Amino acid sequence: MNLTPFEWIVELYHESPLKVKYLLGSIVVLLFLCLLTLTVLVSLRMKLYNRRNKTSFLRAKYEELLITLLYLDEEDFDYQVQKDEIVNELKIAIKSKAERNIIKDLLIGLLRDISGDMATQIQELFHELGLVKYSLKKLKSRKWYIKIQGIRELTEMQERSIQGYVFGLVNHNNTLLRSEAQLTMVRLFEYGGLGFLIDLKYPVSEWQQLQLMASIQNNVEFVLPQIKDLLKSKNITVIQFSLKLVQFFNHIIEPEEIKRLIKHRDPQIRKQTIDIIGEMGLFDMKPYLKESYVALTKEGKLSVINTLAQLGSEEDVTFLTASSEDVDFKISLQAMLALKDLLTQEEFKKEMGSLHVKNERALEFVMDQVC
Amino acid sequence: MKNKIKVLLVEDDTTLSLLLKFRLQKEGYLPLVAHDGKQAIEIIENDQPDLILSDIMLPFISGLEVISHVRNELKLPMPILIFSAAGQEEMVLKAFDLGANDFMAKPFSPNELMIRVKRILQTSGQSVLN
Repeated sequence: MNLTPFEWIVELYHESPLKVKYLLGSIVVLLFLCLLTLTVLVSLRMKLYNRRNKTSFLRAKYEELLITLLYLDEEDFDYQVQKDEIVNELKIAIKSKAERNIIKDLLIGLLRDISGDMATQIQELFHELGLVKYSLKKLKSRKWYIKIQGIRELTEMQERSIQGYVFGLVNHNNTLLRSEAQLTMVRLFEYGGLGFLIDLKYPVSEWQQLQLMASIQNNVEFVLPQIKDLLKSKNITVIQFSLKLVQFFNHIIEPEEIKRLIKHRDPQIRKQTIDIIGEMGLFDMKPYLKESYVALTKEGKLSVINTLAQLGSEEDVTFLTASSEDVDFKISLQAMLALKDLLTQEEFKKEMGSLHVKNERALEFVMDQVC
Repeated sequence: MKNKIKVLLVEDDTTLSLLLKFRLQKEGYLPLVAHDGKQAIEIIENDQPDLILSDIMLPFISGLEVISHVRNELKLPMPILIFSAAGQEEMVLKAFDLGANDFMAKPFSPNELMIRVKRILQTSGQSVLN
């Protein structure tokens, strides 16, 4: 009997034991699922490919329209007609979310690279096209990440009208939103941009401090505000950050303020203040450093010795010699190294010979370097 | 017909590149555009532009490598003006070491760029119309 291949498979299936029937059934189902998955993946891929193509096409189209618009000559007789034509076309495009995002990204990207009259023109265009309304609308969103998007767009466009709104977010309980608001304050408002620090309730993380510092460095118009109030903040991280600003801007602090900060309960603030004395060459503060030395922690003592190594003179030899007798290896070693830099080889050997308590390991190490 | 001055513009950002191309055309130059270092070197070797305006950070071959190729391999004397983003001071110094003639930090004003282009071309003995 002649059977077609399909009939042969069907007959084979019917004659098979139950277990084989299950197995074959499973294979068919699996094959079907594989085919289905493949079809879905291919269609998704095609969709993505088409979307990317469409985006590139639209990007190129709007790029050209925007550049043409920016270069229209006001003295041309049909300037207004040409301008209205392009602006209307862009306004229609902006109604679609995808196209709005393309146009907005093009303008923001351009503003990052361009300054001067053309930058002003781009900012005006952002308003004229109504894009500013969409960004402002994002600020009203309940979702924090949409708010951040809105803040970023308006910051890029140098939209200073958002100062009040952003200031209200610097103490927000969402860390990311709070950080973005603080960065915007520094990026947009050169005068009083750091004013938010005075009432800051939350700690400023090390990373955030670095970002704020980078933003300050990039903002050429930034003016350092009165730092005196910031140094009195109850927020320890605000004082730490303010001391970094003092170091960066070589800002002068009053001696009384320095004395107060050397006694601060936070060890990092104490250390930063002592380091500033050395870096800024505040020689007048040396006697006070020596007075406070005993009450300081090990880290604080090491900072004082480092500072004296920077600002040291003959009058500090007695103090450093006494510190060389410290039972702590690190302090003793640091003091000896400071003395080594301060004295001649002979004077140093003589001074080391006069030590009552000798930290042998430290002494051996330093003498090896001297001889 | 008088020959226009050929200015090679090497910039990977298509929008900025288009904007500067328009401006160069408006000022009477003949802009040649490359979007990466590879294209730039091809254009330099084939068309020998009178001036190169190049970004430092470029795909495939960086702006620094383009300068090095022009000065050390091709031994060409045309002036080179580079663009750099803020915080790329070291790169700018390297670019000068390699033979760049001038630089502008982003964001820059296209008007100022055109003034520099004119000045740099005058110094090298060229003007808008040869």
